[in-house]
Amino acid sequence: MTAIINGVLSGSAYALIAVGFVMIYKGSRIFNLAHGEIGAFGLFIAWYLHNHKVPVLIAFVAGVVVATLVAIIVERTLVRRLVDRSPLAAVASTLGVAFVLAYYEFLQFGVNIKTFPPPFGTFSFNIGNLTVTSSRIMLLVFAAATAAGLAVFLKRTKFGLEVTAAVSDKTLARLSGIRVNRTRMFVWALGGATSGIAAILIASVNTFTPLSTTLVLIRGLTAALLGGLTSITGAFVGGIAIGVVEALVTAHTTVQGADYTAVFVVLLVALLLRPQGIFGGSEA
Amino acid sequence: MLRLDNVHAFYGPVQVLFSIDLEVNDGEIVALLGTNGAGKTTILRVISGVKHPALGDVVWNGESIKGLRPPDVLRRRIVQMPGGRGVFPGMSVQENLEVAGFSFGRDSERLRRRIEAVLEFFPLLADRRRQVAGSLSGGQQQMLTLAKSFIVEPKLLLIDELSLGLAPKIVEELLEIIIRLNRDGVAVVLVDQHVDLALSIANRAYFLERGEIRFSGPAKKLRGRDDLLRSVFLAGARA
Repeated sequence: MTAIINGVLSGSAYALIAVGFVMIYKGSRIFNLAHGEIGAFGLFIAWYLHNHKVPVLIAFVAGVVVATLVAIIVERTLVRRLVDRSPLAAVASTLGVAFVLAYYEFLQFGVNIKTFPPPFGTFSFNIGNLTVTSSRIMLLVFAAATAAGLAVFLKRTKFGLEVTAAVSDKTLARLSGIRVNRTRMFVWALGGATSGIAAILIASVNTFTPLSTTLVLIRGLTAALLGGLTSITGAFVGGIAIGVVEALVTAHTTVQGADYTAVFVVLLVALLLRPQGIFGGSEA
Repeated sequence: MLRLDNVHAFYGPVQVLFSIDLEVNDGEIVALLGTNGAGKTTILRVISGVKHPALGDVVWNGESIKGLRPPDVLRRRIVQMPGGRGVFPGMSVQENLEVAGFSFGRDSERLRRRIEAVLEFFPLLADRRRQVAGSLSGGQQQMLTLAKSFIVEPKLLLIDELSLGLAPKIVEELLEIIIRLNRDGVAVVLVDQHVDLALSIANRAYFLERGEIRFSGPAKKLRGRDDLLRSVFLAGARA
C-alpha cells in the first residue's frame, strides 16, 4: 500500500509533464521534444530570482511566465514556419531548442546540483511509514487540477472546438473563420505554462540540473503514449500508472534500473494489447 | 458587387493565374469552368483570402479585400464551400454548425438562432444533429457543408465542386437549394467539372485554360457553343 501511495505521488510529476506534452500534440500534431527544457528554463529563472531575494511564490509565477513566453517564441519562430512544410523538421527543431536551452542553462547557471524550495509552504504527515511532504501533495494536486481543467476546457468550450478544427483541416478551419496560427500559439502557451509548473514543482521535490527535466520528459512521453497521445485524461492516468509501476518494482527489488526497465515493459505490453493507448481516440 | 482586377497568383515559383479579370453582380450565379489545373479553385481561394494574389486587386462592394485573411473575408459574408470534404469528420453535426458560426464571436444567442433556422431548412440534418459528421453519407456530408455556409447568411457563396462524387439525384436536390438561396438574393460563384450542370443554373460563365480566361459570356449563349467547349477542354486535356 505504501508503495502504491508513493507511486501515485511520484507519478504525478510524470502526469503533469505528460498532460502538457499531450496538449501541444493535440493542438499542433507536433512532438515537442523541448517541452521539458522549456519548463526547466522557467525553473532556472525562478531559482535565479529566488536566490536574489525574490519571494518563492513570485519566483514561481515568474518562472511559469518565462516558460510560457519561451513556448510562444518557439511556436512563432520555428514551429509555425516548419509545420506545414515538414512536420518532421519541426519536431527535429524542438530537439535543437532543448539542447540550446540546456546549454544556455549550463553556461549561465553552472552544472552543480540545485534545489528549489516548495512554493506553497512546507508541511508533512505520515501514512504508515511513508512521510508525505507538501511538495509531493502539491504536485499531485496540480497534476490532477491541470488535467481536469484542460480536459474540460478542450471538451466543453469554443476554444476546444477551435483546436480540434485547426488540427483536423487547416484550410477548412480558416474558411470557418478560425485563426489557426493564433489557436496553435495559444495551445503552445498553455503547454509552456504547464511545463513551467511541472519543472518547478518537480524541483521542489528533487534536486535539478540542466536536462534533468528532459529526463523526466522521457517518462512523461511514455505516459502520453500509454494514455493514447491525444487524451489529457489518458496522459494523467498513464503518468500515475508509471509512477506506481516504478514504486512497486523498487519496493520488491534492489536491482539497479529494474524500475526503468519495468516501465518500458509495461508500455510495450500495453501497446501490443491496445496499440491506440489506454484512452486512444478519446478527445478529452 | 465583386470584381477581380488583373489578378496574378503563384504557388511557389509557378504562376497559376494570369491577369484574371472577373465580375460577379448582385444576385448572379457565375460559373467558372475548365479542366483540372485551369485555376478555378485558386480563383475561389483568392476571393476567400486563403491565397493572396501577387498582383492585381479583389474589390468587394467598392472596398479592396486583397490581402485580408479568411476570417475577415468571412465577416463580409463571403463564404467558400470547399471542394471534396467540407466537414470536420470527427465532430458532430451540431459542432460543425457551431464552428461555422465562429465569426459571431461571443454572440451565442445569434449562433443558436442561426443553427435552429438552418436545421429547419435541412430537416434531415436536424434528425442527426448529435451524429458524428464522418459517419454521414457523402450526400449528407455535402448537405452539411452547404448548411454550414448558411449559418453566416452569405451574400456571396463560393462553391467548389458541388457534384463531386455524388449521385445525380442528390446533386439535383442540392442544386434546388442553391437556386432557392439565389432567389433570396445570394450571389453564387460555382466551380464544377460538369459543364452542363453548371451552365444549367448559371447566368454567366467564364472558361479558364491554364490560369487564363479564354472567354466569357451569358450561360444561355455558351450552352449551345459546343465548338468553344471542345476547344477549351481539348486544349486543357492536351496540356
